[in-house]
Amino acid sequence: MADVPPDFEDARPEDARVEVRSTWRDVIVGSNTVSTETRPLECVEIETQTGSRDNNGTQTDDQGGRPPSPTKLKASGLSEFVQKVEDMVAGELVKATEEAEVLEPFTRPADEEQEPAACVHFLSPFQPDDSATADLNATSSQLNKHKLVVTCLSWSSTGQTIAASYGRYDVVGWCTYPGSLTTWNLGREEVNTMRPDVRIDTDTCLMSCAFHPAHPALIAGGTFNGELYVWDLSQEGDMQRGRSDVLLDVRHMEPILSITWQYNLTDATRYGTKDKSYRLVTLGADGRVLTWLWHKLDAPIFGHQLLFPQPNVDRKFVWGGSCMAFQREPRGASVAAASGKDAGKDGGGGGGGISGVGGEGTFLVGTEGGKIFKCYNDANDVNTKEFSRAVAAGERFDLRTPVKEAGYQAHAGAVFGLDCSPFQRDLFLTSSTDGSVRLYSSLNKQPLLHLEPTSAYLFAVQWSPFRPLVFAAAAADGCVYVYDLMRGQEVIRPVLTLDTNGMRKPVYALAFNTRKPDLLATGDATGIQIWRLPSSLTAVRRGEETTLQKMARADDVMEMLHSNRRNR
Amino acid sequence: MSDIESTLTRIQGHKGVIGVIIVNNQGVPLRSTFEHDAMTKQYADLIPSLADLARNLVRDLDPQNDLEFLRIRSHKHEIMVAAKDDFVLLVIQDPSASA
Repeated sequence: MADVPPDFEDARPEDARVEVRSTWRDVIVGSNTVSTETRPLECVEIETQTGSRDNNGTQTDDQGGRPPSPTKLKASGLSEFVQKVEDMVAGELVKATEEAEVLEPFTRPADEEQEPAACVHFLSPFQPDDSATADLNATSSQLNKHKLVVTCLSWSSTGQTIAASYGRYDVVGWCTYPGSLTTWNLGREEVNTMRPDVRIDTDTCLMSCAFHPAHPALIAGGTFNGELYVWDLSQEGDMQRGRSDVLLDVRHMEPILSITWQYNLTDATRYGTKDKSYRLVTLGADGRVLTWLWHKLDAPIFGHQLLFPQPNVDRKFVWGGSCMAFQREPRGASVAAASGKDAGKDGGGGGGGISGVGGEGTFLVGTEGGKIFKCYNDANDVNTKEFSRAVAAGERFDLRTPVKEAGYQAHAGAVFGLDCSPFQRDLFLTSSTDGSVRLYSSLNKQPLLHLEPTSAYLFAVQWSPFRPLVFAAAAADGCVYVYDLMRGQEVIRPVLTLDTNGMRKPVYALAFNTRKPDLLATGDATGIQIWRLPSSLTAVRRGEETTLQKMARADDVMEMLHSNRRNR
Repeated sequence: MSDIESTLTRIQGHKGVIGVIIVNNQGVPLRSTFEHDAMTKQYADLIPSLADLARNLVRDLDPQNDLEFLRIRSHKHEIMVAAKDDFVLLVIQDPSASA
């Protein structure tokens, strides 16, 4: 086209048509119509028939001998191979034992030094109390108006999320303070330590919480009034999945102090999914131990009441429970045959050795009076059906007692912390307000070890899930004492002391992370601290499990530990 | 066959030996001193491929060299692997166990 000077007036050329030649249409395709047809097929019909019939049968005969074992197939090559290899292997075995003996003193940690633990996070949904650093723009929910403290901590099944329940311990009478459940996901790059990822407020104080051992978003919480909630953190909007009925006769009437998820074989086979294979067992301060199906929280499926006679009195009394722990089967993959359990444990582990299979409902309960009970929760199909029928019919009936054994030497104060060892079924630790931590074997009445880290109350104790001889205790003077029984010490002392808040405010809860060996969470009146433990407390040492097994059978544990140290 | 059994007994009698397994090149355990089959099966599935990788490594570095022995030391025990011809002999030992 010719250059047209820019002319910005409206113009209508006379010939308003543009011709652009087509670049693709040059040939007109011709078409032709043709039809085809198949030639007719030729078909012929023919019949056949068998003339005569005969019956015959074949069968393999059992020769009566052993089935041909595949091991005999390559027998000839096998014996030469074994002969060739045997000397070399024997030499290596001897070398290995020699090396272990020589190198052992170097692999043992030096008894005096201990690297400190570092506090990697300090989480709190509330503003700190001192007004100097108070943020004037804080919303009212961020102010801790009711002076709530952390009552319980729980790590999720993946080890990424920490949940804390907030409540109060010094409530008299009816609880008018609200509580809340706060969770933080520590797997994110940016962890907002002042704002929890999820915050659920309840109308009364939340006294305990527990994550589901297999489902990373299900969490159960127990309140001061004895209500049980189940929340699903992965749901948008209303996360509440269930809430126990407050008008039922058979319910908790006092704070729920301990919640455990218990694996159940019948539920696993009936429902098939991992999350429904676990039942909830709750312990209340009223001495009731109730079993629930978390997806049908309107009524418990079974219940017990801690009835036991006071000394010198005939009548049985209800004892108020303050902490509970189920005995745990050690992981079936342990190669040492000393555990003596059969091959069924490998498949029945389910949640990785967290709790017993099916009928293994043995649990230990600590009470406010200092006594320790060993109980059995026999919530099998027959009992639960009978129970549900009675509850539905509205009958009043008495809950039976689960107590099987109560002769353990009592503490001088209330037992607030109890934990069973994940490596040895019979060993358990207790901590109480008399300031002592005791190691018991459920088969002996006398404690195996009596340790006094402090004179303050002890609120919680837990075994390390990775090292069989490490445990931690939380005290009212703001410190968490970590013990390592593998260290040869004349007098057993805490190898590490964590000062959580520096203000001597009590530490009420502590939780080891079952997936990440070096994380420990502690909760007190100021918030939640996440600690990274040094590797000397997280890496498994040789022979540690055997030492633990020996400890369970030893008569005098101190003597056993000293001789162990001398022999090494 | 008896000399195989006597050899296995001799090896088993060493200090701290937890178990002995013989696996063929197809991953089928031929002899095992473990009671639980699950344990045997796990070792038999996993170890021969590692032995092959180790042998390939040694021969890539020097074609005239060959793998003689493989030892894996872990926190809890020590796994010894002798791979020759078409068989693999595994010994699991805990050297610090007192006899």
